[in-house]
Amino acid sequence: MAAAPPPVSSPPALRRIALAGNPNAGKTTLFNALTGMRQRVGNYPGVTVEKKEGRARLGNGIAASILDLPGTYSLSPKSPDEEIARDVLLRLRNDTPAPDVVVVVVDASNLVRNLLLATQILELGLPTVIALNMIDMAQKAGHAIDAGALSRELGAPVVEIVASRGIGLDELRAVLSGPIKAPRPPRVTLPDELEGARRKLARSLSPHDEFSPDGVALRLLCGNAPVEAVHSAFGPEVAQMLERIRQNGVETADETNARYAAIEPIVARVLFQNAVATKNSSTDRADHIFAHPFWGLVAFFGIVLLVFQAIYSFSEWPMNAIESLTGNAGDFLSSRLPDGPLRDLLVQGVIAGVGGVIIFLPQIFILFFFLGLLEDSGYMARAAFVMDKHMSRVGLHGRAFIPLMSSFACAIPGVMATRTIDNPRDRLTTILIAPLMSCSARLPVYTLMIGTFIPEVKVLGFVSSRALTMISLYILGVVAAMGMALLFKRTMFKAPTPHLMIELPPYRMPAPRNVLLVMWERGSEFLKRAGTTIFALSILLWFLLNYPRLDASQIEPNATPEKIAAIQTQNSFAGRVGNAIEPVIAPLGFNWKIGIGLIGAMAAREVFVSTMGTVYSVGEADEASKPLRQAMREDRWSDGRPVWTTLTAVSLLVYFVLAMQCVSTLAIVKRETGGWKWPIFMQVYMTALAWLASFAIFQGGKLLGF
Amino acid sequence: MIFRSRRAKNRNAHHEHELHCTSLCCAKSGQQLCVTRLCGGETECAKLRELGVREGANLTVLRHGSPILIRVAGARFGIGQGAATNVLCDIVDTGS
Repeated sequence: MAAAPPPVSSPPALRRIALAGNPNAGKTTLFNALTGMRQRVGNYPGVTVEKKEGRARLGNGIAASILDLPGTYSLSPKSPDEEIARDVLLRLRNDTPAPDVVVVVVDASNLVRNLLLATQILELGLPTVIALNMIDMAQKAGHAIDAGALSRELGAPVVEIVASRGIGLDELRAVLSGPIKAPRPPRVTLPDELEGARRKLARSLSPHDEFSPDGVALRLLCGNAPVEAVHSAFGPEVAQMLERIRQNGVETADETNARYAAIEPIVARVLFQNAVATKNSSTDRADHIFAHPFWGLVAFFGIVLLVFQAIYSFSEWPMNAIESLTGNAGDFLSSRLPDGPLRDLLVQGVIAGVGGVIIFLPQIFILFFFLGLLEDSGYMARAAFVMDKHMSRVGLHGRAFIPLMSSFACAIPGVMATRTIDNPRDRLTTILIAPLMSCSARLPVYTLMIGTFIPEVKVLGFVSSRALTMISLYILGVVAAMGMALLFKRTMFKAPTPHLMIELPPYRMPAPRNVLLVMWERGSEFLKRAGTTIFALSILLWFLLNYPRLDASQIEPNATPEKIAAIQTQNSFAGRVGNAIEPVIAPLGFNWKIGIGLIGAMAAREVFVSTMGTVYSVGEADEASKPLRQAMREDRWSDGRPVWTTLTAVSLLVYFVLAMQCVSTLAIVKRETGGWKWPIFMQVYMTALAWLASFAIFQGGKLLGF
Repeated sequence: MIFRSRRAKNRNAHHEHELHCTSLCCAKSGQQLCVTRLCGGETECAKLRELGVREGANLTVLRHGSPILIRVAGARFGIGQGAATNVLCDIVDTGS
């Protein structure tokens, strides 16, 4: 009987291509180069792993849908990201069809390690193309690779590319638009026990056009594939057999060494090492500073300082522009629409609410521009490396420091930046503590309170007491975040601190396209997600602060517009809630008016200042508003005691440092964690923490006679 | 006498072995090592092997400390002290 011809992937009108490869092999650079702006970012259903898809034209009228799989060192996953790569390639996910073609991006300067994953994928039998990337860097390091010989050894087409400079992409597109044969991978001699188990499982797999039963069987065995997923993808017989083999016990750990034993002779035949000195490369020289235990820290804090300086200075002009744009839009509608609820809704609800969010867009763009720059240059891994020792003291990974620093600008990009943390427990811990960092939205509240109630005196003769208070608030946030991280890691997420094992890629010139795409992708995502949520919640908050409305007959006839607004607010749903929660917040030194402010600040912290303006009948107010400061100082409890004292202000400031008061952050946390469980937990624990801390400050202060 | 000389011989052999064997966490900058054994947990060892830190692999210590910076098969890795303790090596070149 003649052997069946190997399956050939003939190009359909839309070819599904999956990009796979080691982290830092240039997979995402290739994805960006092939798809450009035609990208879509989402999540794989049920998990928090990002799913990046894009469209590309391959030539000959063939279009491609390209899926950028998470980077992985092998198809034996150790993290949720890596599980996704295994599941998509093994067709274990119902929501993602198996690709027609797999492109394995291989770092040419690190052939042996990259071929570990490549050979695992080739064995699956799917039509596969090897994209030999960063061939220029390999040549620089003195490596010459015979791509033709490598192609023959691997039994699959090999295309040399430099994705960051677009070199070889036309050849890659041409290969991808033509028919691609199933690969004929090199033979890996497995230990007898594993080989026997593989054969047994392979026999239970029905012959399939697209897959090689031997390759799939080995991956199901060594790749820790869940039995339920195997049951639904390959049927009950395969799942039962897999379970039986596992119950009997089979040693799979030797697969990697067996594979290396097969790869090394191949690499010896195709790779020629030229006599180029590889010692003291520019990366080695740069690492003398950036990976140094002391100078690395100095460099790290210097870079962070520069980034934040840039965020604040570069964002000022666009933020002012957005502010005046939304102000003009509000004025325009106010002048064109008749006085009434519709005008109030549009101006105070929609425009003010949405404007309050998009004003942070310049900061988000700038932050992600720099994060993209640092990531693409290879520096980010060094930051994690130098911070690891210090972060491990609170049970966190070195990578957690970057998102926490980002959260000083805004918790939203900070939460989004936690995606770089591989360990799900570490990532969740970092997400939960990120909002404790004092973000820019707290600044107006800090300014109002400190300016009104903290007396200006010189500490040690030259330090302003107000500046010192401001710095103390920032430090309090950091200390609280570290304390909570320690608590979470010792209770809920109890696990030994994961050992750092991080690749430090060579320093590279960042590809502008990559950096701009990251910036655009994150910025537009922020606008889309947070914008829609805050839009809805702004309308809700406006309604709660404005309804039910009193009739004109219920308000004294000579009342000023500010007085009418204050009476309306007191009578509104939010006002009633403020009154209702007074017994809860009174031990913190807050009355019902501050209660309304806290309710308003639930949407966004800075709303507190304008809500106070409404409650204290001074109309529009900002953090520098003198009438508001005066009105606050004059406010009294029913027994004549002043509501606002320095102690009340400190209590409120501590509350603002520790409380969760940002619906946009909650919405982003929901999106990043895939449900409402963690945002609700975050809201509860931060509110409890803030209440307890403010209670301790206020009651303790009273006991001490303040 | 014979007994004492055998003990001395053993002691010398052990001393020699100690000179050439080390755990990665104790290695010094510039040393070239050959991995002899990984003795951590299964997942940790599997991850190290995937990165190229496997039995028989040669590596160079670029910076000792915690984490330790090494070069293996042309790539640089930062390995935390906990994981480095579980990597046993022979010293190939003291780098001095």
